Amino acid sequence: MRMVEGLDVSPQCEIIWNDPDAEDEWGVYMQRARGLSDKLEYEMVKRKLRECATMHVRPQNYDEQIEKLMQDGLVWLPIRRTQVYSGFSHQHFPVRHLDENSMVYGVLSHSLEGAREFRRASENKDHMTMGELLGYPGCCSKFFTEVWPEYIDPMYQIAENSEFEQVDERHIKLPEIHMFNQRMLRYVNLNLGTNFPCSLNCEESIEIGKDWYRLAQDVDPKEIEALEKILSLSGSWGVLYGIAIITTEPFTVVANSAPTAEKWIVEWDKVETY
Amino acid sequence: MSVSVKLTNSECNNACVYCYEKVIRQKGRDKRKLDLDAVLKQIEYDFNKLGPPVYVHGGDPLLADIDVLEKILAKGYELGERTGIQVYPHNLTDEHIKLFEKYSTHVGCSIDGPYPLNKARNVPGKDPKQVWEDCKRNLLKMRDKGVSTGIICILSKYNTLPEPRKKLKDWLLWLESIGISGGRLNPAVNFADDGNYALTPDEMADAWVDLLNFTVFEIEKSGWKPFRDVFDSLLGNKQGTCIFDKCRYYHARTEPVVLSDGKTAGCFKVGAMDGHIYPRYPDYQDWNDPSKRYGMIRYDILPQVEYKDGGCKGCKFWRNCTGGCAGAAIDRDWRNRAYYCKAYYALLEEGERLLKAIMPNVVLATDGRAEFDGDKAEDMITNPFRIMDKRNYEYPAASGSPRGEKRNQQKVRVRKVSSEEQTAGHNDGVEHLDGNTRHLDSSDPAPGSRGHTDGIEHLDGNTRHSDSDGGCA
Repeated sequence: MRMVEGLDVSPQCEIIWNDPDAEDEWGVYMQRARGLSDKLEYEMVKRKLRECATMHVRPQNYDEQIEKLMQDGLVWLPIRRTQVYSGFSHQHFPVRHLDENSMVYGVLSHSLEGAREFRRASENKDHMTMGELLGYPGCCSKFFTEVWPEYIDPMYQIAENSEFEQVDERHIKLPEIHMFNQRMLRYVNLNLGTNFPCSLNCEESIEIGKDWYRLAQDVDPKEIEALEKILSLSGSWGVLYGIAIITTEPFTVVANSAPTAEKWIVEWDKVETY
Repeated sequence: MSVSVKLTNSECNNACVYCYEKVIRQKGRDKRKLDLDAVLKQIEYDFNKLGPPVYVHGGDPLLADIDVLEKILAKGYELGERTGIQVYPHNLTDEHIKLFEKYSTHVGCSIDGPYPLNKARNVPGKDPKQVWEDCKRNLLKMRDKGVSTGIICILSKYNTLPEPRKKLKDWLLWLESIGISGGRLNPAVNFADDGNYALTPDEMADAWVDLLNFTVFEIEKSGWKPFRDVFDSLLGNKQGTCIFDKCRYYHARTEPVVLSDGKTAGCFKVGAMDGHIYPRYPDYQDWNDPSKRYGMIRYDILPQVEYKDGGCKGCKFWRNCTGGCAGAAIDRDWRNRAYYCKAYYALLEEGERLLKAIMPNVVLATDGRAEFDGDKAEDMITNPFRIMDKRNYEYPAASGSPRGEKRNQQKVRVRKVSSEEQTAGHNDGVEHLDGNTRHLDSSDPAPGSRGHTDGIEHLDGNTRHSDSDGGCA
């Protein structure tokens, strides 16, 4: 993948409806589905379904956030101060001093030991350990260390590692993916699971996805129903000049991505659900 | 911009080969119910924000029931005392023309030239020769009735290659003879990736440069675009038609559309290849909201991407064209620059050449001497005719060296100033000249008495001072 050197693309993500009627029909599902992923990340740790999760704390409401997690018997350790950004970012923007335009990236755990271990791993860029603590399959963590950070948004690399048909030199089509491995809509919080799967057919990742799904049914059945409806859509993901455009029938997502010099496309047809 | 009422949405009985609403029809998105009350209500709401005229578009608006069409025109006339409509005039009736007279309607006519140049504007079941005869008859009728008309002519292989272009030019002269000296000569874009009718960028460049020279020198008071846009842009007057301006792709309100059910949308050209109709939010005000950029990221990235990769890095005409129409970009992908970039470049270069040939001392938006308070051609603050201005020189000159530079030179706006700032003193955003001393804005009504403590750099001859509380040296 040839990159445009020095191309600076600011963080962003937005959802655009492809038709005024699509917004009427799908808007309510979108609203319900988008809040679920963050809730589940927290609950997965709280219910000890995994050791850690990453969590940002903001100066504006850190008191509420800290009180809540302490009441839930959880701990949080800071890792890095970063500038606040609007939209989706593949990186942090370190700052020295905290103000209204900054926040703190950290780790949430149900044990201080776990949190410390994660922080140590983060400082050492030990993605295998971080992956283990986040509950990711080993194969997925290994794949991540191979592709990142050369590919900051490795959607094409993950798709290439799956069962696909070659449409063109930089265009592949996947006849089937699994809903639990669908990460091409994660820019707008439409995902069930937070790992980068090593492939869109990864069985181990699907198994972990089942935990997320069952938890979601317990946390909010309406929201998981909405998310499932959206994640079942076929579509395409394409990146060019640092902008990813993800198109489904009712909506399009625009988000910042890898600054490629050529267009790379992943299409998918059928989505297997649970 | 004005309210565009797509009374028939994308429904159309014609079959123009390059139609940008083709894929919308293929996907079945062209049919909506008619809710006239909702449409009239939305027209009024949009009109209060956008102003006149209300403009009826389509598809083919002539497919609508004439009573319904009259209600729309009447509403537009009630609000703004003038209206507009875009039609393929082969199927106009006398009843339609009566409406146009009654409601002061400017009629945009979609015609690509006389037969056989009009073959791209296919009408199923009708001989193109007859189509042209009907168009011609109706143009003359409207002329006789005093109905204002303009032309949109789409340039394709059918009418613009060197051989048919001779006839096209004759037709432009004929239009002038019947009182039509302007309109648009737009390139056909192959939105649906079908057929071989669109010109190549080289062919388009050749045609546009030829037609620019033709319309400027052979047609009196020519109003043909994009040629007029080119001159205005180079002089820093106006950005020009939206193809030269930054486009909020997913919320393209340069054509604010009202659909037949009263819902609102943006320009149909964007998303044309996917058959999408992006909604428009009439109350949207957050143009600087970073989470709602609707594709404006294009203008951040294009200047950073090399030309060979599809970007605009280093292009001297970036300010003038900002990458061209996002809806007609390379590979039909708005992230790229316009497919017809080469033609835009050739046009702007020709415009530059002509202006400089006539007035070598003109300062153009592409000159290094030009200054801007924004990143578009229309943000130019340098007076392009400064050296030709008698207020500045005893003997100004269009070429060569002017003589007798005057002490009280014409003031040059150096920055935009809000109305709140325009209180006392020299707060009008205009450069002040005291002899050879140039002062920028200050809040001091008598510069030279107290210091210039307005936070603005001051120029005294060759000396640049930052603000101080002392008087000027």
